[in-house]
Amino acid sequence: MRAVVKTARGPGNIAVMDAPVPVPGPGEALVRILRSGLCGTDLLVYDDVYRGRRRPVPCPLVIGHEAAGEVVELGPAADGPARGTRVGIEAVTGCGLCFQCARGRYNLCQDWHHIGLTTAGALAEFAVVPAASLLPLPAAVSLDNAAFLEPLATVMNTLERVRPLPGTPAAVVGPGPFGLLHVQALHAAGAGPILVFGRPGDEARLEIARHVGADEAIVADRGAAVGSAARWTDGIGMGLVIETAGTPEGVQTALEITAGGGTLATLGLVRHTEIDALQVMRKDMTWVGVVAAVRRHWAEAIRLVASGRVNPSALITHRMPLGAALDGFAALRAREAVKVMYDLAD
Amino acid sequence: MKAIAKVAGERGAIEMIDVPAPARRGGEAIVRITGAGICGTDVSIWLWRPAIAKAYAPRFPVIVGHEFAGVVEDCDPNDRVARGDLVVVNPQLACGECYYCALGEQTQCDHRRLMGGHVDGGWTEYVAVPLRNLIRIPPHVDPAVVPLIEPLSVAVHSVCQRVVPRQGDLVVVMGAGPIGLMNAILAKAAGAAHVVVSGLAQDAARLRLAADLGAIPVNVAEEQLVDVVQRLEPRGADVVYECTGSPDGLAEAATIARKAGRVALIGLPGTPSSVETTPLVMRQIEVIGTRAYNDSTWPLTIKLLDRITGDALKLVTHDLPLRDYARALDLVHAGQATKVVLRPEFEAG
Repeated sequence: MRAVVKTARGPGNIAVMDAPVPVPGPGEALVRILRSGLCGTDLLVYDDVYRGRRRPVPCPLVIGHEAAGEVVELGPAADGPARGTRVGIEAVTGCGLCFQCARGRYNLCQDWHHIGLTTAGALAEFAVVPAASLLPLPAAVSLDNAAFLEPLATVMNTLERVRPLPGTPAAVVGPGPFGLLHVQALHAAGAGPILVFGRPGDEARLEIARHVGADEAIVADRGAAVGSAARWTDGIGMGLVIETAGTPEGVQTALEITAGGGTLATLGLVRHTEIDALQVMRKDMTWVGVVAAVRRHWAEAIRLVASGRVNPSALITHRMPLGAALDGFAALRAREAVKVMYDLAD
Repeated sequence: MKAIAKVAGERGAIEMIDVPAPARRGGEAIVRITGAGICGTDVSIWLWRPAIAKAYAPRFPVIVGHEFAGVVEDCDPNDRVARGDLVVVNPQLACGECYYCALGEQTQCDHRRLMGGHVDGGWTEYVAVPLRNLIRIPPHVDPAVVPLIEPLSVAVHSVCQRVVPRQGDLVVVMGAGPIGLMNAILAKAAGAAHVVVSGLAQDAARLRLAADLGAIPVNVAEEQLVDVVQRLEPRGADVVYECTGSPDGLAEAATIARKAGRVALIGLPGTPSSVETTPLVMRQIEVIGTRAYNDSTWPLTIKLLDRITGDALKLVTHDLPLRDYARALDLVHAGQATKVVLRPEFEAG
């Protein structure tokens, strides 16, 4: 089969290769992948700057973790959807034994596994995953939308953490695919006005932001974002801010535009940022981090897509066969692309 | 000036009377009324239902009407409103000094009074209103929706502040009156995937309106609400808004809610309800009362108007001169009208 493989540590070292179709072991399932999306995290793996929670990316590894497909075969003693069932694939599994797993928050398990990062992923024609990670798809969920369930489940985690109230002024800093999925969900939640801030080069993404629910979507440095937030809220600031930029400037902007008593959710991956921490106290604000998702978020993501209240596939700008995988990496890096979707169906 | 007033503590006893125009005291503005609504509570005042009689005005006559909007005719200089501003009136007069006012829970104020209930209201030409009870209407708002802002605020309080649906939820609104329909509009705006609205056979027109608003109408004379809910989601409803005011509403709401679901009580039954509480315990149902609104609700309603004005205006079935108040009360009581807007146009009559 064809697969996108990180062949060795170090920058680059990603190639489309032929690999044997994997065989499901006990408790596992073989899934034929029909759609597989490209995530910003895959670029970090490409650049060899992604650092896992406990373990480095083991090489060689099939990458990719945003996929949908159909069940081909269940391994021995595997309990899962029948052969031919269309499924989404949960990305995270926990040890099942620790405190976090026991309370249903295996996204926080220190010994977690994540397809495409610690175990074989889904940028491939076939993938073997735990049968318990499969979620049958209702007919109302298209394959294209199903390939967004992984990031959308994390958006549902954000919504669970921040509980957006209708009419709350909300901003998204960083108009990548993750940011724009948040825009769709915030729009569905009745939040508003919704402002989206990007940096130079994000113009195409900001155009899409306006189509999926943003009231204003502009290239803005910190000062311009502060000005826009003040204009839309009579100087009060944004009640809810989602940071998906993954840059120090993005975090600083997000913190600055948060209103007194507001909530900031950080999802971007950036390690060191100089911030005025006193603002957090002065504003009596809440700053939450959101990482990945657990099964209830997937269930919520599925029902939200099925309800038609969000349409993630509106973010697909590039559609290509898996053989052209590296073109997708280039388009995403250049921020020409919002979502690169690999179509593996015949 | 002309005013529609409750003149005695008995059934009926609502009359058009002549009263002096109100004088303005410090901290007040005089508002010229341009539109007023009729609420189920006004019908209860008319019929002198026992639940109302207990809580009503200490003396008569008292001018009826707590849903009203108008134009500022006269006020001292202040930073809230100016002469000529289009305003809606928050008719809930809170003391501003008690424990609940300090919490921002004005609807629980220890000294709460309602204009049109305890003190003179808005079914007239002019009314004196404390400045802090005036909300200025931004220029982009459709003036037609302004008389609906008070009942919309009841719905905003229940759906957007008290019992907020989660995105993708199955929401049931029991009762197809104006508040039920407004709750349906807001539940949809808050991201509910499905909103079911139940009504009686006599609510046929309101149920058609519910369908037009994107909700799933259920005529309970023809099908069981629980069956419709089960078909949509065997687990049951995530959120139920009880807006019928029937004493049986709570028990049914608790039955159609999913395990650990939430039941919001908005309707006001006049008699006790009987409910089996063990299933509430075993299924961990949350029952939440939600009354009127707080001061914080009004600016939120105004912010939400961009999204809901078109749907809210579909509720207005009648636009009548205020002198036709008796016909208007009849229409609402009989369920022939959904929302009636009254206009003080006495000279024309």
